[in-house]
Amino acid sequence: MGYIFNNRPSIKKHEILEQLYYKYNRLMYHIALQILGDQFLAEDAIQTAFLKLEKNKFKIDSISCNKTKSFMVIITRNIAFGMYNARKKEAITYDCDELEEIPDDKMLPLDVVVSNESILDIQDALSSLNSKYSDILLMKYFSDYTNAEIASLFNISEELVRVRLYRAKKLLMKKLNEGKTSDE
Amino acid sequence: MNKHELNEKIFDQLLKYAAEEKMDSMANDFPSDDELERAISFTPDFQKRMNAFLKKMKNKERFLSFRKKTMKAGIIAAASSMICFSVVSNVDALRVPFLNFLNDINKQSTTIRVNEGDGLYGSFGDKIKGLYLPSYIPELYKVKSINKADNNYIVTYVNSDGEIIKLRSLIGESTLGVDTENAEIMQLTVNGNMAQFYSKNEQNSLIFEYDNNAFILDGLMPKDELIKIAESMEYIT
Repeated sequence: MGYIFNNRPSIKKHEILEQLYYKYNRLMYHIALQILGDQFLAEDAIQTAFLKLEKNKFKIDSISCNKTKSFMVIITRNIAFGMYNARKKEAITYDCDELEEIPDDKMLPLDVVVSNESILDIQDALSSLNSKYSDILLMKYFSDYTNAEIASLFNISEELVRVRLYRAKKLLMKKLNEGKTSDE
Repeated sequence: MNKHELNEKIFDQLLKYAAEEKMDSMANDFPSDDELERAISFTPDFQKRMNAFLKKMKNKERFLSFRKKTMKAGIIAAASSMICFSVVSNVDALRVPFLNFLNDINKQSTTIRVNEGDGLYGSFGDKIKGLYLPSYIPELYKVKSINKADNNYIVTYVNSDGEIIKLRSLIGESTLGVDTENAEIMQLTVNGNMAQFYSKNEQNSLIFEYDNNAFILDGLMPKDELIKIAESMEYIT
């Protein structure tokens, strides 16, 4: 698969990855270490992240920008979570949170948005979600990834991506309906 | 489309916008580069591992790029029919793309010629800036001409006996079809990259890579001499 580097389409992928590595390796390590609590595992998470990026399509505008920084964090965070879950021998899919029942909202999405009169509410609601949900929404709605691409980058099953997306949108709607943006 | 579907679509668009804003703003929550630089150091093993990984990735990409270029070139070459205009191939179908290339050169080219007695590239001055050229050419050979068309070029070297060496660049989307019949083929490493050597009717050719670009070199000379020329390539600034 290829990659998209919007400003310089002719630049080679390995050059982009090398620059991303030297720019963000410490931030990635910091994120992975928070989750895994182990220096060596955190280093493994960085390498895994770059393996995933090498094999998958990704879209960035430039090396040093906020969006790219966030993108690198999201990739690292999800790979680290995957490693953490694997170590705990937990099922990859359908953890307790995933199985939590979220009732259907009677209010339609647009009604909610219009009633809140601000897109900032969606941003706040996004911020209040557990990162496993917000990350998947960001990858889907910011980067336009398919479920299969997200699954490959995050090292999870496509089915889990589908479930998380569904539940993430449900939770987002729930928070918008309640007019609150704090986590539970 | 019913109202619910329409609302879903509109909500998705709003979510898309919100996601973009969120990607921009969340970066401010992370520690700065300076803070991280001070606080974090990697194990030597990890640094070694990542360096090897990055190098491997680079080599892999260069190999794929080279393979793509050589495939475009028809991969297998017979030296005489590729560069020397005088030699006739008996595989007409394969000659066509090459002749098309020559036509292209004739229509769009700029030929730079030098006078007898000039140094290797001494008289070219700025005209050869931006080209990849060998700094080594066997004794008694001189540059006869450099024929440029778009990004590509052919450099012709000739000795006092009229024997010719030709260097042809394959930069960008160049294509070249060549006679493959009865050619002896050998895989080599030149400039640290995969290269292919072809020999037919005493004409030898070498397809090699330098700085991510492919080149074809041929002439009536041993394989080792062609490799020596290829390994002396440099970018003219």
